[in-house]
Amino acid sequence: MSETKQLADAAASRDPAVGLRAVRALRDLADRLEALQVRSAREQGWSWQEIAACLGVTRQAVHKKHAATGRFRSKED
Amino acid sequence: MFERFTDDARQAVVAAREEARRLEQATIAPEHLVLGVLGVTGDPVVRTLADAGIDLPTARRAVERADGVDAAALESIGIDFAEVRRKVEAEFGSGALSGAGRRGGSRTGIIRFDRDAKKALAQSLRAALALEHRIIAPGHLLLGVVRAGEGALPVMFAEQGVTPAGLADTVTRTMTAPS
Repeated sequence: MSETKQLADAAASRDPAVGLRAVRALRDLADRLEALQVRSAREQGWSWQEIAACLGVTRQAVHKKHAATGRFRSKED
Repeated sequence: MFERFTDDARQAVVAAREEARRLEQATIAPEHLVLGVLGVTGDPVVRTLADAGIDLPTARRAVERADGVDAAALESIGIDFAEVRRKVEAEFGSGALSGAGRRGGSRTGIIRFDRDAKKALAQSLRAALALEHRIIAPGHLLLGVVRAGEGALPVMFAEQGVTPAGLADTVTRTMTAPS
């Protein structure tokens, strides 16, 4: 995996292009994990308030971000 | 650069655009180039890879599951995306991490190469020159993608136990074997 090794070395060299790309990839992954976990929580009957508390954001924020996807509807929506 | 491309390599590039379109992506990424190449079933390299378990349907599934996650960038900070995906899919089922609903099809209908794919195309020329080949065949395109070291490739064939370096070895051996 020489190419990846090079990339890892480049990350250690403080190249912003590489570092920022890693941040973007991490954010992308975190977004997907969040969408998956929020969907799962709703399916298991969690309230938006409970989900928001775990994520450390407001109920409105998590509702606005995830309620519109249409995958889970409830009386609360 | 395109004037050095064989008919098969041109066909692979055209197919790469179709793969991106099929996946509703706004741009052509390196992994779409890989899919384009694997569609050229008459090519010796593609036949060799098929024998190793790497064919178009397998690769399509891998791309659909990775779905644009920049695995190489994650690896640079010590995150093994294949492992993350394995754990998530063990609980939530295959494709659970895919970014469905987040895709951006091209509004204009024109799908261009993204920066990484352009880099891969440029590197395919370098790969051909390194082998003292005067033309660019589908195999060189694969070497270009590996050399560019971008996108989903590091985890694309993890299930087949094939690393990018291993893929490059197989491709190079096939292309330099006396016929």
